[in-house]
Amino acid sequence: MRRYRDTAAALCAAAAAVVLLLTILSPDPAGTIGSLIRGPFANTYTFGNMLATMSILIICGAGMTISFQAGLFNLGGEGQIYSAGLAGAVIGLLLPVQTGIIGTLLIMIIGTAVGALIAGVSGYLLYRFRIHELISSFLLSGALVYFVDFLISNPLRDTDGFLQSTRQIPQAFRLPSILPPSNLTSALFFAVITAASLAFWLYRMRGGYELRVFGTNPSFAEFGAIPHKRYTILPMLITGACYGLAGTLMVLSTQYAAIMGFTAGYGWNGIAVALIAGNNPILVIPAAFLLAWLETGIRTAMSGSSLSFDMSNVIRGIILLSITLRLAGSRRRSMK
Amino acid sequence: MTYSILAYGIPILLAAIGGYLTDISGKMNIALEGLIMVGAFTAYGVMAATSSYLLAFTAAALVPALISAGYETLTTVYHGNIFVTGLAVNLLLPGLTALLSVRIYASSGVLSLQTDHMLSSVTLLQIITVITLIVFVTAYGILHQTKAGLLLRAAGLNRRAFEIRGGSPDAVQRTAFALSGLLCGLSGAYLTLSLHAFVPNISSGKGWLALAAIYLGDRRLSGLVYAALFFSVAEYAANRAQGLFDMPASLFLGFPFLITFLGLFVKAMFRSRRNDHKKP
Amino acid sequence: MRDIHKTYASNGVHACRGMHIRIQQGTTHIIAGENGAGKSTIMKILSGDITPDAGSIWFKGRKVNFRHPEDALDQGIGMIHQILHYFPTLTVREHMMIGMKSLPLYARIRPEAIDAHITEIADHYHMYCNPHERVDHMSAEARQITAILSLISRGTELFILDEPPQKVLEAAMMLKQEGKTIIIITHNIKDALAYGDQITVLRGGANQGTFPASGLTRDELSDLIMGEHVKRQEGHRPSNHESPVDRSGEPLIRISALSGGDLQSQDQIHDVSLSVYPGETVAVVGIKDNGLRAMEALVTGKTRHRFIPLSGSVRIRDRSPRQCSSQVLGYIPSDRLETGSSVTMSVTDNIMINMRNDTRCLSTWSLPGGRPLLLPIFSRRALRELTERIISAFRITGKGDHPLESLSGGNIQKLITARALYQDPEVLVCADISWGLDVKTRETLFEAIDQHKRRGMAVLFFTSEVSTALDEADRIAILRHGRLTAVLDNHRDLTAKDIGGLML
Repeated sequence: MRRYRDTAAALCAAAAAVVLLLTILSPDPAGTIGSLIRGPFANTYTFGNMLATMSILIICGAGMTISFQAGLFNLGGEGQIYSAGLAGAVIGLLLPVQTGIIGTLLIMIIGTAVGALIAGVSGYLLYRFRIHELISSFLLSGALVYFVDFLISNPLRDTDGFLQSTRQIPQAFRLPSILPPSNLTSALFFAVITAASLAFWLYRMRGGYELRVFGTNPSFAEFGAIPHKRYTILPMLITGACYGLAGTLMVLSTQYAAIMGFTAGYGWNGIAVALIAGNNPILVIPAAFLLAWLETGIRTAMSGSSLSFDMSNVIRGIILLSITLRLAGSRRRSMK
Repeated sequence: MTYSILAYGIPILLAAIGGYLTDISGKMNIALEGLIMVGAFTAYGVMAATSSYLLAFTAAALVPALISAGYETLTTVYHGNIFVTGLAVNLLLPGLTALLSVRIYASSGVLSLQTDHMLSSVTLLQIITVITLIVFVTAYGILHQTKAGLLLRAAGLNRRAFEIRGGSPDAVQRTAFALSGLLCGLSGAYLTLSLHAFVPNISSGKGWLALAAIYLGDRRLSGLVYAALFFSVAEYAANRAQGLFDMPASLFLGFPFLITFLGLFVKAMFRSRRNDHKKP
Repeated sequence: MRDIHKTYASNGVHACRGMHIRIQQGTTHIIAGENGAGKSTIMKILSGDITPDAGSIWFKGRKVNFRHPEDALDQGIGMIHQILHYFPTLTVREHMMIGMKSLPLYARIRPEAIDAHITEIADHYHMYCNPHERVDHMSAEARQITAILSLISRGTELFILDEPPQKVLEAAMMLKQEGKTIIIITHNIKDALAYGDQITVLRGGANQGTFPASGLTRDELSDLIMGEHVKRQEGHRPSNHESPVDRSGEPLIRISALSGGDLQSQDQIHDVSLSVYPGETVAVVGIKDNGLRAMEALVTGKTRHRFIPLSGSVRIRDRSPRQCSSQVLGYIPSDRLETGSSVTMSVTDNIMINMRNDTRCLSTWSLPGGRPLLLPIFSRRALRELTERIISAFRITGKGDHPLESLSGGNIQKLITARALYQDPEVLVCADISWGLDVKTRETLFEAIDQHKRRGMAVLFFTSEVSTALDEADRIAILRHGRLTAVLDNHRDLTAKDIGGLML
């Protein structure tokens, strides 16, 4: 009970901060706040886009809860999404169109594997060499983001387009739209299924149970003969896989290509969503809804202004700040 | 060549020294990137208003120092996770500078400084190099020659032992955070003033590289210099290579991260092999 | 110190129950008592390390209020802890400087001046001290010497020493001659009588009285510490004393020439051999941090990152402890909250740790062919029933889905015991099982263990409470400085005094 009260308090604080910020910054505060709140529900287009954003956030956040539950910190989400997205786009361009739905699945599987692999490296390094996963995942991601930037802007660039992006993947591989003309596709189903199955695994299955024991108290895990190696590497793999899936879904459902910088902070948002949800994959769904609403609201309220990206970052920051400060006696193991 | 290496390396080195101080105090400040941005923006604001380099540098040092110590205090008081709050501050600060830039100067783009007595970039680099030299020598001296440095190291080595001997680790860490903010501020101020303008994302990852430098430098003060030098030589070489072989710049942007990652990996591998030999 | 109360919030142990102690200036005051008597707690309160829940401290006629060790140090009260916290990689000189209040922050480290100062003090008290040496390379005793030097240079008037080694004791005597006040916490009766002026005996968190050391004999003091334990409850546990244990068969636990432990401290054992037979309880008694924890860890094969086995072997039915499942080896760890449970997880989550591989806890579905399909998915019903059974059998107050930390310390220990016994293990290893618990809970726990024992379970239990060992064990093994000094049959005339003599 207390946790929900804390979360509510933190969200109220964040909302107050946002309102305050808009009051100072906007020439017409009431109007801006109004369109921020109502914007996403104004028409099917914005509403669909909000749900599309939410789908991606659900997957990122649900994946992140697994790391957090195991007491691990994956700071490489940006690189994992970006690389997986590029991998998905490249596979989509290489595969023959005739493969159809099988091709789509293949793209998703490969993208997921790419994300898992990148995060898994950090998990392995932590287990084998005690290299802090927070640092190693960030560094690897930092290197990859620039490398993918390079690939998109140079060898893989679609020279006919204006955007810095790869060529678009064939129609056959794209996910079916739900609310045209918005970006919402069946990705939403994948998102809900991912969150639900992770929650089921975490709370109803043996592996998830062992992971929670390991995350809350490693000594107790040793008491119960729970293998240390598995639960250092596996959570990173799962988180990475989710980020990878999110990356490919973005390509398959909204971008249709790997566009320069398309990750746009989803890596950080995954962390925020997981923290708001108190690391429960099911609660990630409402948390993602909340954050997607905010993001879409900002985009509509500030349309035409180049500030929406900065504004989202500020709000992300405020939310992270207010959420972590409630985590009295954080469950995270002490830093090595 | 010296100019470009120093111009790239000095801001990283300054921020890295700040980060290093927090690291050895037992709690690492990962918000260096955001603090550099604040320093850069503050320097622009004060310079535009007063045309005084001295005031610009001073203000640019103080504001991030206050923010840094403030967020550390908040984290301690409310039992937050310093990495999450650091991350939050890193997202918050660059965004805030952009919003403020629109609010005050009605522009979200480049803000140029137009004052009469602008120093040339070379002069400014000389000044900042001297400042960095002084900072480095002072930091070295404080850390290894004075009681203050001893307390800083001790608080990071064993918090409990420090408390029992009558010290307050929280106070030490707060001081370290303030100092890291101060140094990041200087670094940001230099970026703005030498460019004669404030540009969004002017720090372009220098704060993260500074963090990486701490690890690459093997958590030693002298190691920071090598790491910063290494980054700037790599950057210089990349620029040259780009010009010579017509290679795209973006290929090399991620280079420092990659190198640091590999460096960490190789170091850990050697360490573990050494330990394997030690075991019977 | 007047009417001091302290209850630890983390485990609910009421360590001090209204303690009064008067300490005369310029004397050596011994604080004696069994483990868990509240000795360390009361002294940590006096040194400002922990704050009392109630009560007041008067120092030199003034009421003082210590919130932090610094406050006490400023008043001239300094404590040397038994397990010394130090800074790895720093030298003796640097350790000393940290404590020097008079030194301003900007003061340069002038090695010569400081070293001269250190050597001067060290020489004065006939102690050896090399200022250049790194503290993590020194022995535990040498570290204690560094700590006392540091307190001296700080101008401390009242020294609190927790289980000091011989060298430190000698130095303390010189300090006393200079008019300083010394408080010594010790188990060692010989030292207590040899060095003490006054002796205060604590038991169960209360003061049992202060006596002049000159008027006490060894035996009297031993009796005071152990309490009125001579009158043993006859027939309380018939199995213990009436039917002798059959030791003709194969032992269930065979420990041979086992050495190892925490290499950073005194918590090590050397060359320990011991066998436990079916239906037998063997108690290993000893002082904490003197090998007890190390033996517990080595016998169960847990906490290997801290307690490292060096040589010898442990066989439980011809298997190593790490190969034993919880159906063979039940374990009740001494550290209930750290190792034995995960306090933020639910009661059911804590109960199922050993049962998670049991097919009875899993959901079953039938495949079309009638074959059962087993996936590692828990059956909620089975888990609920498991929780119900354990909760009702031990009358635990608590609900399955509540977090464990909402339970009292006694209920948590009941849960851990019930969990260990649930699978009818052949061997039970338990440590400090009744520590800090009330009499009723204690009875419940031992009654349950006894029932299993009668069916042939072997029990090895580690404790620092001699009385518990006398009540429950068939044989008592005494661990002193990490070595087994004796293994005694627990017959009727064995008294706490006998054991105390071998242990202290």
